[in-house]
Amino acid sequence: MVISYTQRDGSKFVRVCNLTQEVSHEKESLEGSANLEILSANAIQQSSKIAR
Amino acid sequence: MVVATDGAANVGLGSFGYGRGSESEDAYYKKLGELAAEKGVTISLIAVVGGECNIQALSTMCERTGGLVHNVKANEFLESMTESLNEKFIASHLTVSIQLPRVLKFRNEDSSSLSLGGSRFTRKMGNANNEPVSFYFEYELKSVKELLEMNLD
Repeated sequence: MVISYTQRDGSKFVRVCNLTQEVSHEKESLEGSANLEILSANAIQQSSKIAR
Repeated sequence: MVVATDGAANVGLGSFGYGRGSESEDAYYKKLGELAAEKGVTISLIAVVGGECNIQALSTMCERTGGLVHNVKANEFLESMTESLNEKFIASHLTVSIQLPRVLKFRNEDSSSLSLGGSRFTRKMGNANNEPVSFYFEYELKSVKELLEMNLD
């Protein structure tokens, strides 16, 4: 992920973050450990996109 | 910049429903948002409940520049105005770009935000205040056809 921005004094910054995301094929254990808060927030954002 | 309105724009530039399709009006406000963000200007909207304000079109300017959108009763107007003017901005021209491994692609995102065959998502967020912002995305494996075209080892 790259975040670039300009501060109020005019100086420009670039910030780079990396994340290694493990994947799994075990659907049941993934569903058990899913973060429901994130899933529901995503559902709201996705449906608002469709509504447009 | 705070846009305060109690109804539909019906005269002049950006007016709604006078001979032009809604698509060109949406494009007009999108363009205004782009220009404001380029100059580091934040646009907030205060619309009054019950008016005919086209929030959907106008809010594209706020979304693009990091401004607030308020849909308020007339007696709450002052409070919203104060909140809009009190926003403390810490940065402008904020752009966030997320890149997935090239075998994956984002889904349900506007193609104008995507590059590298859908593997990179870029969002211009305009101005940033010190409130946390969250956005969510979904991704999936590219199709077999797309993967074959990439000539992977």
